[in-house]
Amino acid sequence: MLKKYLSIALLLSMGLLASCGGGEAEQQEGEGNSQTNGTTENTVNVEEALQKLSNDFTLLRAIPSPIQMTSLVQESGAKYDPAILHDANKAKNYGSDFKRALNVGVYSTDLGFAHLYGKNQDAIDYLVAIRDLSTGLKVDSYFDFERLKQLTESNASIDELLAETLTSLQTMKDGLEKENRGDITVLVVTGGWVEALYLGCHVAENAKNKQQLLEHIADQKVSLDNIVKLLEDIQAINPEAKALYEKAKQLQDAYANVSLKVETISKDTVIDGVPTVVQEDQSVELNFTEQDFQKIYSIVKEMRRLIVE
Amino acid sequence: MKRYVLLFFLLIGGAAYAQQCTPEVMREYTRKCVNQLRPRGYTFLKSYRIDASSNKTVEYSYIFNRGQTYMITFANESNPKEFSGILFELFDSSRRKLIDNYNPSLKQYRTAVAFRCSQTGIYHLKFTFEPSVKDYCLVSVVGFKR
Repeated sequence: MLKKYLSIALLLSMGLLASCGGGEAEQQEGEGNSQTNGTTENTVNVEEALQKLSNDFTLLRAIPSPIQMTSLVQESGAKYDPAILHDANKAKNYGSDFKRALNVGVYSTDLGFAHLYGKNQDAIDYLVAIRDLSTGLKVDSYFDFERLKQLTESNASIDELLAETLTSLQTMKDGLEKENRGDITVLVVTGGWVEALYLGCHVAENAKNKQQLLEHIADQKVSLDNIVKLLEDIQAINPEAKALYEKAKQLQDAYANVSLKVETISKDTVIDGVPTVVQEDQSVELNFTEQDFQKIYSIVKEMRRLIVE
Repeated sequence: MKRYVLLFFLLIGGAAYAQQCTPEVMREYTRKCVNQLRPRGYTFLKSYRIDASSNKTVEYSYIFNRGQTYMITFANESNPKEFSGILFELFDSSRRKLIDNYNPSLKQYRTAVAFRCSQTGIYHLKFTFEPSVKDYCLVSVVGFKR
């Protein structure tokens, strides 16, 4: 009798634990990186590359969200120009997972940009494009598109839409990492990063007050180093990434002379009722010539063309 | 018999804690964090969904950009006034600690800290769960403003 109850207790406990499986997709740290793909067509090189990519995922997680660049573009006073964004109708033209993943990133940046300017119809068009590409990539289960559409249509705050979109993207990235499809995540992040840098450069070219944008563009050197390492990893997984990797290396060369040297001291204070540490400038030295800028912008345009064409 | 009953409750209890980290619960915690950002004019940037059931210390790296002020908020099941036992520390790329969420004079853990960044680089966000903490689920949201 006792055994029977104990068995029921154990079964109940196991059932509860099993039902928590979905929550594992949320965990981002302390996970093993075992390769259990098991498909015979995978070469040893691909498995090794996936393993290396898995080890390098901290680089990916560190790359800042494109929303920082797009909000700077808006703050520079630039008017909303849909012509500089990617055409949402082109989503159906992408036939490979490589292009689909890159353009999920591009459209995600454009979605945030359109919503920042209150262009809700454009934002919905980008949502539809992301949904179509995500279905092709078999990652649509990570998104609640109905809720996203409701938020966009109801003119919800940018925070609500961003929180939902970025949280879904993050859940997707974590899920793909576990599915050994980390290369897809790298491409999504790369696409979003290139689009944000493209928008930043496009606006900075003609902006009157572009100091902050230029500093932010110069600062992308840090993220670029991570992107180059990650693209190098995925070349072995996806040969289509080679051209993009080579362009990213060229971009790294173009950034070679660019530097933003800042000396700071940290001070503790309270802002808005929240304990805050403030890094105060002691000295700032930006080395970023017009020639450097034009070189960078030119390569970024080429990278974007490789992605969206 | 007592031992088996205890085992039963331990198993069920452990499972119940793990169950808290469902996507729905984490979404609710995310909303709590976002609600701290909005009144202060911060825009949502990134969320960390932490399940510390296996690792009591979790660390992430993130590139913070010059010219931005970041607010890092935390939420779990407890209301903000009862938030306790989860230490957050922010380090720069040289592993110098910039700020944490513990107030030693009040012996309180805050649910938000902020950082005004002047030096773009990789920063480290470290979360440590004290052994006494039984709720392993936490969401931390980073917001930014200029």
